Amino acid sequence: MQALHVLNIVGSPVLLASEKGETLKLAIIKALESFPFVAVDFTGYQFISSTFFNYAFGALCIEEAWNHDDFGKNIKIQGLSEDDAEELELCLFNVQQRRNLLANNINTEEFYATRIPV
Amino acid sequence: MKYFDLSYEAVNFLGQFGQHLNATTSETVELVSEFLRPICVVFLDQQFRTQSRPKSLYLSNPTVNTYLRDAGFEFLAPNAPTHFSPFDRRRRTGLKAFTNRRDDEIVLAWVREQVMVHFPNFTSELERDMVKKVYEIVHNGMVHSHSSHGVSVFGQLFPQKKTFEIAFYDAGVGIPQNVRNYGERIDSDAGCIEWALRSGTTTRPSKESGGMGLFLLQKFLGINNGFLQIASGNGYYERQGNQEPQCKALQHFLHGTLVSIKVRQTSLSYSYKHQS
Repeated sequence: MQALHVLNIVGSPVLLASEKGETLKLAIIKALESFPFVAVDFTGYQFISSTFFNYAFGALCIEEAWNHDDFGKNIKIQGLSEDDAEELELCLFNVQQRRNLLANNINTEEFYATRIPV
Repeated sequence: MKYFDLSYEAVNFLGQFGQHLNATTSETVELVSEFLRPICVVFLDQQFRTQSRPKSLYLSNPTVNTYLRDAGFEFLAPNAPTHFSPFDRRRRTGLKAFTNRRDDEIVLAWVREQVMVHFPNFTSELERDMVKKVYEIVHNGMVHSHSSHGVSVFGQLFPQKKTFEIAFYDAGVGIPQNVRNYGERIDSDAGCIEWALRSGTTTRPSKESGGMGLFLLQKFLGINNGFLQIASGNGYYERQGNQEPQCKALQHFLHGTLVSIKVRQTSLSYSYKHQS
């Protein structure tokens, strides 16, 4: 198993910006080329945003066509607070919803448009 | 408007003033008011930054001019009267325009140095929440506004009410236009704002992840019993705590997106469970 220490990869304990999420995503993709799964260790982080989660893990799931189980098989998350771990779950849930729509050939723009209150 | 508050009427007035500012050819534009608040400061800052020809603002009230000057507003008319500030500057942040979404550590520093000082005995959890929420609103503005002038942010403590207001404004595309470009079936601008606040909804392309920031902001303010106000286009949205939101149509179009949050001074933080 490959362990990725986020702070070393991103270079900062402040994990807010989307670009930092992208950096982590690319590091994960590269690691998975050589290892069956990776541990992503957030130990020492100070701040993290939903933006970071979306660009790191949300984008990863969409690009790799992973569902929640696939994510769990490939990625082991370590070092997140309980609140932030729940926020990551919300990110993965939203991605799953979006992927379900795309898998059923539902145009997400039209789908969300029909949900809008008049 | 004599006294600005955090209300539908105040936002309507700002929209009207913005239209007047954009339409006038005068180099100096007058605003008559005896009391401003953060939504006015950020709105005026971006409106004057984005003028195609330089304009300046004149108010006859020296106290209000001094308030703007001390906030860092750069577009006061040279002849606008000021005096020694009676305000306790420790109650306010500086006016800041964030223009680069990579500057997350600059946002962090601003929140720590200028916002958290107003929350006595704050916990690390509350600091974490405030940093996240401010960053995500700023990031939303920078990503979705398509404005090169970024997002202006300003905050003020109201000690008697034990609340801290932070206002954000970009003079960009606006939520309704973004949502219509995405879905094209939304009749009301207020409906577009409501759509943007739901978990999972985002105007990012299908293969990009998003739709959490505004949803989580609402949850945070719900637990804090804070206040959220969003205005964009002809849409107006406000919500107190977990009460039913109010959505209305503005009488005067507001360019861009104005967001105001009022946070109660409390060390209360929150945990949440995502809803399925």
